Amino acid sequence: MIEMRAVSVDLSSRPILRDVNLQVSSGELVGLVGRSGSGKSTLLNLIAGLYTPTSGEIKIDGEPARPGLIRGVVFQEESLLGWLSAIDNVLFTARSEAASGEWGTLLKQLGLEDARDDLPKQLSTGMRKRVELARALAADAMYLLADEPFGTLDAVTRRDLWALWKNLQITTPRTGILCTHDPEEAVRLCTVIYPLKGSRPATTGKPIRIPDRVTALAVDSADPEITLLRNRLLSEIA
Amino acid sequence: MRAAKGTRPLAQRSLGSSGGRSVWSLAGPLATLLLWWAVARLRLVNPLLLPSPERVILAAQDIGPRILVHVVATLLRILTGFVLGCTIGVSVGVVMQYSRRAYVLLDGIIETFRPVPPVAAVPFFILIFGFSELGKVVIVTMGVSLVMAVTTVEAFERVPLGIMRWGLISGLDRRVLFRRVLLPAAIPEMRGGVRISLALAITLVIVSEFLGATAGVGYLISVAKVTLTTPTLLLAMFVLGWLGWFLDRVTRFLFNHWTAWDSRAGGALL
Repeated sequence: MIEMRAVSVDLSSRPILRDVNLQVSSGELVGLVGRSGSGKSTLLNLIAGLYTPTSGEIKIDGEPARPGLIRGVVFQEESLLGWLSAIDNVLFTARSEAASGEWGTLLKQLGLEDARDDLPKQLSTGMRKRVELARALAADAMYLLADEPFGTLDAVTRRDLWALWKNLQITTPRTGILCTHDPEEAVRLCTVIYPLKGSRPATTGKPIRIPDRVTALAVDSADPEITLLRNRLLSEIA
Repeated sequence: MRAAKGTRPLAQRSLGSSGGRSVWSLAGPLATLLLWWAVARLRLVNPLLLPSPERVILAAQDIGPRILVHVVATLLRILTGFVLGCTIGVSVGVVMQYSRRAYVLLDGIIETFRPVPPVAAVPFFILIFGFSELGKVVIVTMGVSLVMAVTTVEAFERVPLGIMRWGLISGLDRRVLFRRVLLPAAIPEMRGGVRISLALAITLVIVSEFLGATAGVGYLISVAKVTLTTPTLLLAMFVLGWLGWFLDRVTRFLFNHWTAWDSRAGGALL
């Protein structure tokens, strides 16, 4: 479980987040929706232990957040090690206790079987994002933090990866947070969404629980409730 | 799903086939040679100051294999100073990146000496070390190490943000993070600095040979200047140019080999 209680943070004497409260229960994928520059990445860095909050507390399974506690991370910016093959990138931080056969299944699920020995520069942006996702899942059996992971992808690839993501949440579920500026993405992929209101400082609004019926919908299905939820989120973060 | 394995630089594409490129790359030197030959033939410049290309070829025949003694002497000085300078400079840069306190201390020292043109320091080093080999190597080592220390610090600062963020969040051991993540990621960024350092090493060796040596291409130039044997002087200049070109090619080849994984390796756009 990830918990943030009354967290505020200033960076270089500038207020970035104020009175942030957030709770992610086990097995739940929480969306964090906010405008660009609203402090989503800062919030994720706090949970990952990269920053210390100015006030308030952040706990991961009861322990104060620190680097290495959550090792499953995917960002918008590319973070693969260019000199290692796809499989070596995945294995670099992979859990040692897991059976080696697990990686084969994971690569198969992510459609990376043929690309396992390729260097990142030989892969398309979408494939590189899949490798990053595989690395995050291999590194952490419990948690996943994602910061705009689909932000740089074209519409078709993004939709493919949404489907993949949903599938993975069923086969290899993780407790996690997905930061995005796209309300539709959050509605389609998450179970609970926190709007991040305002900017510098920003604060979390009331969480919106996504009905099971919507969560079960395919990523390309059109549904009036998705539009309603999307518009509601847009008005919350505006 | 996969991207193309390699794309040709824009400048290469606009010139067509590799054969076409070879012709264009030879056109410049050939035109210069022709112009030189014409100016010398028409005696537009005093032949004592600008001998014809044939005279330079004759000078090469006169010197014969002895020129290799001079080339080897210069090459050894360049390589020794360059390798030592790179080792010291990269080590200093790494220490500066690793410790904030070391950064503040060493940055002050580097920034005090860096604005001084290294060539201006050559006479001072000759006063201290005399005309010994050690003096020449120390001059090159100092010049190269200052450039490489700054290059290394900047290379680490340009490591992609995503890699830095992932490495820190993953809770990797500090040494593993540095040796297996940050250092390999910084190497492509050092390419320019290494090539500049090599050019500086050549300059410093030649200047120090001007001021005092018994062998070396710089020594050959200084003797030719005093005895007004311009063909030998021009010959030494060309040899130096080829030596610089060859060393730069080797450096580029090594970097292309070590950083083949980097999408920017293999040539810039223009």
